[in-house]
Amino acid sequence: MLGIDLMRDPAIQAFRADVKQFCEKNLPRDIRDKVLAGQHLAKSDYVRWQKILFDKGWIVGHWPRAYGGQDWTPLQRAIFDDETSKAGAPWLTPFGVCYAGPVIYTFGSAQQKERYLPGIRSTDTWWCQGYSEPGAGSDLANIKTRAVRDGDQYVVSGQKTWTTMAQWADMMFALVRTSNDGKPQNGISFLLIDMNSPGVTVRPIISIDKCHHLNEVFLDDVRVPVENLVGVEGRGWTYAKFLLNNERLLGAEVGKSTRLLHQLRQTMADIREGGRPLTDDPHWRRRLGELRARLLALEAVCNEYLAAAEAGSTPGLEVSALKIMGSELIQGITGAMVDALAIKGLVYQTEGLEPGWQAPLVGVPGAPGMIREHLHDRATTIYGGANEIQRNILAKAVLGL
Amino acid sequence: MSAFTQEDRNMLADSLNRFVEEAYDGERRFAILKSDDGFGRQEWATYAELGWLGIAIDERHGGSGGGLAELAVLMRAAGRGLLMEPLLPTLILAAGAISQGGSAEQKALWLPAIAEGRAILTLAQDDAAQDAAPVTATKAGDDYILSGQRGFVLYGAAADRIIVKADLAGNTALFLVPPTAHGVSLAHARSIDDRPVADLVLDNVRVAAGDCLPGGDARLLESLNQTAALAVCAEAVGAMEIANRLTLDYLKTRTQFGTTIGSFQVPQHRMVDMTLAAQEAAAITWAAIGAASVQAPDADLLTAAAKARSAAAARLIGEQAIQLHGGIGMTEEYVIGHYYRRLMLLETLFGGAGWHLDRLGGWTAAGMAEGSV
Repeated sequence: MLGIDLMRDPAIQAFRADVKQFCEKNLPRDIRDKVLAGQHLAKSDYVRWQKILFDKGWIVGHWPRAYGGQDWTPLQRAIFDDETSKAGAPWLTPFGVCYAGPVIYTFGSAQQKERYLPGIRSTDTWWCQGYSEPGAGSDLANIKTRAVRDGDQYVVSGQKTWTTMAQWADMMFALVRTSNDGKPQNGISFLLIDMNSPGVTVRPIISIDKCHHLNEVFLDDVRVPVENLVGVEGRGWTYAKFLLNNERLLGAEVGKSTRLLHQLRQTMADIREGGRPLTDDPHWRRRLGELRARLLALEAVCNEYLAAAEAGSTPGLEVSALKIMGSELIQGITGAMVDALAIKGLVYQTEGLEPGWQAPLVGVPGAPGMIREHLHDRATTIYGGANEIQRNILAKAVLGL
Repeated sequence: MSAFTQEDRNMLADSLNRFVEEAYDGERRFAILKSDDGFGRQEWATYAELGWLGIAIDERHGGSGGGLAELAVLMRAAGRGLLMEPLLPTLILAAGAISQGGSAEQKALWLPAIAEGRAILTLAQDDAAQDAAPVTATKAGDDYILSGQRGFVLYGAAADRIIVKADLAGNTALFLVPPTAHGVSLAHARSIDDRPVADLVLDNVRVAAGDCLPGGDARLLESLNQTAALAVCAEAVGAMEIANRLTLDYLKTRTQFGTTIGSFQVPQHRMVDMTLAAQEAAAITWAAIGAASVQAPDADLLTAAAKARSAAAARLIGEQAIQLHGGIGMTEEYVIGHYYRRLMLLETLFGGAGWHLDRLGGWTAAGMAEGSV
């Protein structure tokens, strides 16, 4: 079935309407307003929204029923992601429900499932991802953090970096080196580390948006019980790749781009130049048309993949294609925002990012949120494997070069 | 609704691709290019025999009752093989105009003739070169008198009838004009992709009332051009698939500095971008065709996006296919340049990227709800 025919399927449209309606009714207005204004969200904002989704049974809708999920297909999951993003819901922090959870229920022990899955579902446990290191960015297999077995414990030493929201985390799932023999990938293990353990130090990294999302995490002789090893020692790379595949159809971020394009359109309508709004300017109209065309095309590509997934096909390389197209579109939209704001918008009054901040703004209303988004989204072509790496992957795996 | 199932369409695509690969090889195509007609009469007869010319013609008029989705399958194959035959003007423009706007007599006369390969028709709607007067029609008793000029008439030389767009007292009208009629003259040339094309001059040409299309108004023409834009997108998808395949093969076989040029990262990334562009153009093209086939409210929106993205992809792929081929890509003898020139034409036909982006931008500026065009 063609992607577009699938999207017009009444059952699919009904599910979409359900999600949309649920967001309209249940997404707290104060949280939505912060998201739409690009303001800072507190940990409690994320937790509040995720608990609302938990109560509805949707926070882990993509999990199997046996683990409390709804057995959503990739299509249902994409629609959920799409509609919640469009509605102005906060980013659904993936570290627990999308990353740690699926690895634990797929490869973990019965004891690990019992211990960790409930807290992941309810967001009572906050997770972070310990992958990147100072010497292992795009070349992730080069990680040096060592885990040495000592009786019924691992002693973990090393440094993780770019660790998003680690300042709030109770637990980290980490890739650690348990062996130096053979291929670098073969000596990597998947370990669950309690962030309150002695020897764990979290230091903030302030990014170019002047915000604190990222951290360095230092691990100095951290003692981790052996029962926190997921699956088999030395198979961590395989589990990490499984995760990537699990996420393969969400990389396009169509919902987010749709929301940003709405915001661009509104900004263009609000900003007047030479006595008329930018929406009446032929140059700006064409630029808006170009971004809309790219968004519609990206959506069409996603729909084709989703239709293939519904039909049971399991190709694996969509993640690279969608990541390239999706991230470059997001940057195209936020770049246009910056150009539309022009000099008046380049007052980066970061106080304006604090919810409830009342003093007068200098420059264009809403500009700080858009500038923050633009600066933050420069990372979209870097994280999760830089786009250059994605192109290498496609050249090798799809084109055979 | 189309009489075809997806399985039918897949079978149609298979037989078209087989024909393109086996019977329309480079040697045969070069012979066709050198011929006076500029297309294969013998191939046209084959297409009729195989039922391809009637795929979108009503069953009552000797066709098989398909629609845009089936024409798109045909046009994609035409792009893959760089077919030279007048599929676009005859099947999409002329048969479309007559099916939707013709009288019962016109349909009965022309549609079976098209399906059986007995008639080639084309449409003259573009303005001729600067300052030339477009065609006007005036009523003269039961007949009409047509005068003025039209440009870029595809396959005008071979056409049994040219459907001419004229201004009739401030309204758009369409007339079936025989090229042999008194007062008709054609100046012939070849298009950039080697297809026969003509400028048309009408000097007081008398056309019978029965040769005016009763439903041939501006609305019909607009819907026809939307359909044609999507047919062109489908043809571009086919041409881009093969241009990419040839370029990839070249990267894998051409050696320089002691290794294949495809082992270098710059050509690798370029080739990835070309592949993604083709994939994107294909996805939005099929989405738009799906929407247009059921007259969904977002059909115009998706069509504009399809034509714009397809044009952008055609530009990238056409130019970079030549670049990555290096010197050999510059030769007339090698086919990649022919793909480039076909893509140049397709990019421009029925609205270039800018024209469609302006429409899309205008609709988006006015609001973004789905189908709010």
